[in-house]
Formats: sequence, structure tokens, C-alpha cells
Amino acid sequence: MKLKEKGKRVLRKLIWAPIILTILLWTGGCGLPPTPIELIKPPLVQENTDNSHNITLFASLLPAGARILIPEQSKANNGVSYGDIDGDGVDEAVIVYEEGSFNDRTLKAALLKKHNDGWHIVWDTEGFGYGIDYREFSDVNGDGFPEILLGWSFGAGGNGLDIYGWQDNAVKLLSKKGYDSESDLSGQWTKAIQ
Amino acid sequence: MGIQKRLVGSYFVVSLITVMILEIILITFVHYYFNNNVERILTNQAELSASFFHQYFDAEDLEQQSERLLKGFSENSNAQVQIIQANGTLLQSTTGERIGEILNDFEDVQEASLGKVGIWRGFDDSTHEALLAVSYPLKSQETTVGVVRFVTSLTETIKTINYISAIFISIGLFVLAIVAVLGVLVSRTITGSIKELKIAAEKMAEGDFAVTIKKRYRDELGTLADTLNMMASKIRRNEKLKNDFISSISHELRTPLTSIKGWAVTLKSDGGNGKLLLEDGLDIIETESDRLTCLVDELLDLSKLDNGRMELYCTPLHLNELLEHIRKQLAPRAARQRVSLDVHVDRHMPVIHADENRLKQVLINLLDNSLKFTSSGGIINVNAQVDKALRQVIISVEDTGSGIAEQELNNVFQMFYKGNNNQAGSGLGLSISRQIINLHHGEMKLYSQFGKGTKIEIYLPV
Repeated sequence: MKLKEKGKRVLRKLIWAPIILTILLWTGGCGLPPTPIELIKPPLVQENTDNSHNITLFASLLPAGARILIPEQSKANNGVSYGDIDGDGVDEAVIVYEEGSFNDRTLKAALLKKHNDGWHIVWDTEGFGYGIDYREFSDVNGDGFPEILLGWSFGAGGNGLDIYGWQDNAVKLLSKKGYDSESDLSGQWTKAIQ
Repeated sequence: MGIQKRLVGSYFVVSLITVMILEIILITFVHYYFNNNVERILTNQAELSASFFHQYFDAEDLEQQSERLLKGFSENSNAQVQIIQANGTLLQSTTGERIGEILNDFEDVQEASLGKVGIWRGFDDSTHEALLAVSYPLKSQETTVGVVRFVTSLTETIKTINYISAIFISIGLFVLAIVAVLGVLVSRTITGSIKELKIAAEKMAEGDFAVTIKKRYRDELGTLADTLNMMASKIRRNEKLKNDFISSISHELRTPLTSIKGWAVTLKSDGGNGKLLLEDGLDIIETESDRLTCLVDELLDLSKLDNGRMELYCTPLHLNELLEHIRKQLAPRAARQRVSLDVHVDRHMPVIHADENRLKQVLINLLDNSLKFTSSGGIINVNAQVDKALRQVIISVEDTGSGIAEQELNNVFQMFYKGNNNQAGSGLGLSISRQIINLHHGEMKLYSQFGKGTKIEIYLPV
């Protein structure tokens, strides 16, 4: 009699096990764990409060895990370009960065504006391809204000140029064109204006 | 061996099932993980490629720029990359073969031609390889102008999955081996005790009660060993009691028989001379026969009690009358032994319901014992009281006799127990008395101090 009761109690416990397991799976999320390559992350860097190093300041404004990319055709070999896109007399900054890793990688570009209290991201957009080839401010349509030029790299498959300009107090996409090389780049500018 | 086999077997089966469930879950997971990851990587690459084309190169003709596009598409992928026209013609391929063929047979290509994402798993009959293909539509404006297709061989994936599965399975087998060995070791601790118990029980069954079992663990088997040991010692003691009983009964039977026979022979040889001698002889023969009858009656009582065939004939009974009667009956013997016998009964003694003869038998037995063990000058007190609260009558018999040693107190109620005194008697009196009181739903308690006296209390319900 006692044994039977014991058995029943054990059974009742056993019935609970799958329920608990299900709850655990539910709360833990059913998604697959990341692959090892997705787990590789740079070590945490102590934040630099020195304003002269804007790049570290900008990095701190980006979402966690984002990395600032340096374009292949970068003259100063740095991750930021400055230009007064809205014509208010103060230079804005544009940076290109990537989020996520490997399988879930997204390329993004962001425009930063300096207010009294510091830099803020005022606009961002998603990019395409494998990386960034070209990122500069340049007045390509001759209106007196620089445009943002973003050349996304598709490796040996070519590159894609996005030209963004300031219209109606907002950043607008002006042109989207493919190009092959640096020499082709300036040709694309002129095509874009036409 | 039976139990050990069963134990090890059940350990093994339980762990086998556990390990199997785990293995199935793990291997399924690994299988899913690898396949899903490969598919995800291809899908991402295809999506990235298709979207770049859609963003920057959709204005140009697909065929013209296909060579360049292929370089871009395959830049970050080891998979075979194919560029297919909307009609299914293969334009470019990283492996360079089958160019110009129509690939519309593949489901994924068909899907992609319709503008959707196509995923296909299949088998290449010529190379005997499992393949995974992901196709993405290449769109110009809203029309599908072509398809980019990433094809990977799953051979390496399957090999890796099999390798990991093999590792899991060998770990499982290793665990099972450990469990089996542990099972044998652990079960030995149980079967060892059981084997010892079995051997000892067999010896006992053969009649050897001198064996003692070593208690190994304080578990159920340990308790069983204790119980068996206790049983053996009880049987040993009962054996001794039986032997003692037979010898004492033989002795008890022999004594009156000897005197009866002696007198019979004397009277026979005397030939009827001397009437006085004849009367004396016959008297003695009569009392000795009574003694024999008494003894046989006790034995009969004993067998009746043992079989549960003893019946009580309960009638309303006045205790004071009964006790007075008994006092009168035993007063001469007490006077002869110079022992004072006092009886005191409560004035308001209620009428109880009891078997008069049996109760008398009990009281005479108790008083007989007291008289036996009280030397001259001693006092025997018989007291009867009422306990109204508990609705019971208490009869106590107290003497100033030799008393009972503490270590013997527990034995006096046992059958055939006679103590160390070489007194006459069967050793049945107290045992029978107690059982008679129990039949009356009463209780008998014994208090004694060695050398000072004994007090026996009988509790009877009203």
C-alpha cells in the first residue's frame, strides 16, 4: 500500500518534469545558439572622454557590438568624414559601421550632428554588399553644399554608389549607381547629376 | 544470482533508455544545427547578393555583366555559385560546367523564377552527393531577370555530423559500460547480504539454530538478519524450555506415581492387616491421584488456551464471597506455615461478570505461589478495590516472600518457566492465570523486589 503511494508520488513528479522542461525552453528561447564565429567579439574598451578622439566618442554612440569601418579608398585612413551638409556653418560627421556578425551582418551609415551638449546621431541608413569602399563629403551637384557619398563594396563584383543630399531639412537619397573602380567613381558623379 | 542479474539488468535498462533518449535528442539537435546553419549561411549570402544586384546593377543586362557579378557573388562563399537567366538557362557558374543548360528541373530555380526564395535538398546521381541549393531571384524593378543560386555539397556536413554522432554514441557506450560495472559492484552489496541470509536460513531450516548472521548494513536486510537471529535465539530458548518442561513434567508425574505404586505394593503385601495402615495408604493414594489430576488438568488448560478453545462461563459474581471462600480454603495451610493471610474487600464492591471457577483457579494459583515462596512469619495480603473512574476492579495479592530477581521478571509469565527454585510445579500456573485474565478482558501486572516480596495486581472490568 505504502509502496503504491510512493510510486504514485514519483509518477506525479515525473509528470511535472516535461512541463518544467517546456517552460524552460520557452523562457530560454527556442532559437539556435550562435555559431562560434558569431561569438568572436572585440574586448571591451574603456571609454575615452577626450573629445579630440571623436572616433571613440562616435563608437560609444553606436549600438553595442557595432564596429566602425574604414573605407578601402580612404585618404586619411580613418573612420570619419566631416562636411557641412545642411549649410548651418557647423560640420557634420558621417561614419560607416557594421552590426552583428557573419550571418547576421548589417552595414550601416550614420550622420552625426554637433549640438551644444555634444554629438548626436541624426540619421542612419542601411548599406549593401560586403563592406565600404568610399565614404566622403563632396559637392557633386554644385549647389554649394556637400553631399554624402557612400560607395558600398561588392568585392570583385563591383561597387555601388549612394549619393545623399540635404533637401527640405532632411537627408534624401539622390542617386544609386554601380561603379567598377576609383576612376569610374567620378564618372558616376557626373552621371548622377545629369 | 537471480537477484543480481535482475538488479544489474534493471540498472542497465534504465541507463540504456536514459542514454538513448539523450543521444537521440543530442544527435537530432546537432543534425538540425548543422543543416540549419549551412542553409542560413547560403540564404544570407544569396540575399546579400540579390539585394546588391537589385540596388546597383539592375539597369544593365544580366548576361553582359554576369562574369563580373559572379565574382562578387562568390567573393565570400565556398559554395558553387550559379547565375541563371529567368528562362532557366545557366549563364555562369563558378565550377564552369553545364553552362547553357536549362536548370528548370530544380524546384528552387522554379521558385526563384517566380520571384520567391527557393531552397532545395537533393542528391546528385552522377557524383552520389547530397546537395543543398538556395536560389534567390535577381530583380530589376519588379520583374525577375534571373536567379542567383548557391549550391553546396553536404558531404562534409554529413561527415561532421556523423563524426560528432559517433563521439556521442561512443561516450554513451562508455557511460553504459561504467554503469554496468558499477551496477555489478553496487548490486553485490545487496546480493552479498541476501546470499548470507539465504545460507543462514537454509541452515536454520535444517535445524541448526546455532548460526548467527552478521549484520552488514543498517537497512531492511540488516533488520531481516536481526529478526532471523532473534528468531533463532527464541527457538533455541523454546527448545530448552521444552526440554526442561519434559523433564520437570516427567518428574512431577513420577513423584505421585511412585508413592501410589509404593502404597499399592505395601497394601498388597500387607494382605489386609491393620485397618489404620490401609486407610492411611488409601488417603495418600487419593491425594496423589488428585495431584496427578490437577497436573493433567493444567496441561489440558494449556492446550485449550493454545488452541483458543478455552471458553468462559461468565455469571454475576460477588467478589467478597469468592475471596472469603478462598481464604477459608487456604487458611489451614497458611496457619500450618505460620504465614498470616489477610483478605480485605471494599465495602461497596460491585457485582462483576466473570467465570467463577476460572477466577478461583487464578486466585488460588497466585496464593499458592505466595505460600510457596513466603517463609514462616511472613504476611500475605489480598486486597480488592473498586476504581470507579476507570470502571474496573483491582485485586492485588501481596506477599513478603523471596521475590523475583529483576532479570527473571520478564520470564515468569512464560510457559514452563520455573525460575531457579527447585520447587514443585509445572511452570504453567502464572502463564495460564494471565491468559485467563486476558480472556476476561482484564490485565495482570507483576511487581517484585528480590528478597522483599512480590505484588500481583489483577484488573478486571466491571
